[in-house]
Amino acid sequence: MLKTITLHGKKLVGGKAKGEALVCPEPIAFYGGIDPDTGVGVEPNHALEGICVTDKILVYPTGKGSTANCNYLYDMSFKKTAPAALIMVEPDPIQIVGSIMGKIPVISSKENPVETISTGDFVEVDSDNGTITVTKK
Amino acid sequence: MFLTDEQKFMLEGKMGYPAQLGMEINVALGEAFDAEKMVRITGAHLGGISIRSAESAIMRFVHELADKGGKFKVFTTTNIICGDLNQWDKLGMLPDDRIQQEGMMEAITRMGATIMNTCTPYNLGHVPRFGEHVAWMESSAIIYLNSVLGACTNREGQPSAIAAALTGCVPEYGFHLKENRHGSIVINVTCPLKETFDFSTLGYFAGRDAARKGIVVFAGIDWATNDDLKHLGAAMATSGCTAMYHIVGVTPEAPTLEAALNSTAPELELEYGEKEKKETEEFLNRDKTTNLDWIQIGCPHASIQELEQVAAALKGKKVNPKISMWINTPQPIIMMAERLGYADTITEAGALLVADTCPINMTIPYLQKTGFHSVATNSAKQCFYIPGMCCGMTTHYGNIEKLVDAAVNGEWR
Repeated sequence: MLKTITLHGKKLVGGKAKGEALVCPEPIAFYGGIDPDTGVGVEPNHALEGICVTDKILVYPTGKGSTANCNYLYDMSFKKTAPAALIMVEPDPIQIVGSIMGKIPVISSKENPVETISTGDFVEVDSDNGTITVTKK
Repeated sequence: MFLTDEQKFMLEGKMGYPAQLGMEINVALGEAFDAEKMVRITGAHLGGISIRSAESAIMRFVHELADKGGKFKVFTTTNIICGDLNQWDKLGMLPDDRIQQEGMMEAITRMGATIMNTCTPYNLGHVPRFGEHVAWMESSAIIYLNSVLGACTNREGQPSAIAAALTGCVPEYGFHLKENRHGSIVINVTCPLKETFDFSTLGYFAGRDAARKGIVVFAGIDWATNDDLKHLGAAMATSGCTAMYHIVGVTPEAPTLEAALNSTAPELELEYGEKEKKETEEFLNRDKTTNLDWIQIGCPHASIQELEQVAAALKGKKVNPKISMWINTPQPIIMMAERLGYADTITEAGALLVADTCPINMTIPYLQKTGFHSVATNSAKQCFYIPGMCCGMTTHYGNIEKLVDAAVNGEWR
C-alpha cells in the first residue's frame, strides 16, 4: 500500500498544483541558476545542475541571489518552463513576487519538507489550505 | 492582515487591474513576513529600467500594466538606463537598444514616473525625510536612504517596488519597523580615512566580513561627507547584501554607540586598521598587470562635488589616446558642471562625461563592441560586478589621483 504523509505550511502564493517532487537540498537562484528557455539547472556544482525543474513540485530550503530572480520565475512561467509549485522552508520575498506574477503556488513549511519528501514522490500542494500531501514512491 | 477600505477595494479589483495586482503582491509579502498592516509610502525609486537589467519578462510586465491604465500614486523616480541618449551614436551604442530603452521609459512615464535615470536620486531632489516610509530599489540608494537619511525602505525587487508605487503602500515589516533598525555588530575603525576612496574600501570590508550577520555600527569615524557615505554604503551593499549601517556621531539613528545598539551588547566586534585596509585594497585590485583601456569614475553616479574634484585633477592634463576615460553622472548634474566650467575642463583633457548609465547596465552586445578588456575604477562596487557582468573585463582599484595618473600615462603603476 502506498504511504501518504500530510505536511502543513503557510500559504505564500495561493493555488493548487500536483506533480512529481524534485527535492533540492541547497538554496536555489533562478537568475543564473536555471535556464529559463529549458528549465534546466545551469549553476556549476549546484544540486540542480543538468536537472529540469519544469512542471515539478520543487522542494528546497530557500532562495538566494539577485533581485532579478523574480523576473526569471515570471519569464519561465510565460515560457511554460516553470515548476508547478514551490515548497520552501524559509520564505524568499523575491521568489514569492515572481511566483505571484507567474501564478505559481508557493507554500512554506517548517515540517522538514526537504528531509521528508524525496525526489520522485507524488505531491499535491493546496496552498490556500496550507497542506502538502505526499505519496511516497 | 488589516487593510483599509481603500486597500480592500484595490485588492478586490474595484480600482483596476494594475492596483489589484499591486495589492496582491503587497498582501502576499505581508503575509509571508507576518506584517500586521500596510504602511503608506511617499515615494518609490524603480530599478530595472535599463533594458540590461529589466529582462524581457519585466518589459512585458511594465508594458502590460501601462496599457491597462496603471498609474503610480506616489512620487516615483527611475534608476540608471543602458546608455546616454545625448551621445548614443557618438559612443557607438546600438540602435536596437535605443528603441527598446525608449519603449521602457515611455511605458514607465505613462504610469507617472519622473525620469531621473540615476542610482543617486537623493542628489536630484528625491530626498525622503527622517522616518518617512518609501519603496526603493538600487542597493546603493537603499542603504543611503536607511542609514544617512534615516528614512525607511526594504530592499525591493522590481515588481514589489512597482506594486508599492501603484498602491501607495507597502507591508509593514523589516526596515519599516524601528526594532529591526538597530545595530548588532561593531567595527572599530582605528586607521585614518583620508578620502572618499578609503570609505569605499572600508565598505567592502564591512560588507564582506560582517554585514551578512547583522547591521554594522562603525565607531571611530567622527566626520564624513555625503560622498564618503555614498561610497561606504555602495560597497557594503555589494559585498554584504545589506541595507543599513550606523556611524556613531555621524548618522541620524546613532547619536551614541549605546543608542545604535539599542543598549544591547554587540554580537561581534571587529577592528579595521591599516592591515585590514591594505588587505582589502589589494583584494579589490584584481588585475595585477599594468594594462588598462577604460577608466570609470561615477559608481555610484558622481556628484557635483566629485566632478569638481575630477576637473581639478585633470586640469591642464591630456588623457592618453589609447585610454577611454568616462565619468558617469545623471544629465542634470552634467548641466550643472557645464555652468560651473568643470565640464569644459574634463572634456578638454580628453575625458567624457556620460549621462544616465554605467557599465553594468549596458547591454552585452555593446560591451563586446567596445573592445575594452581592463577597467580602472575608484569604486569597490564596480570591482565586484564588472568581471562577472562585463564580458570578463578585469579591474584595477585606485583613488581619483591614481586614475588620472593612469589616464595620462596609459598604464597602471
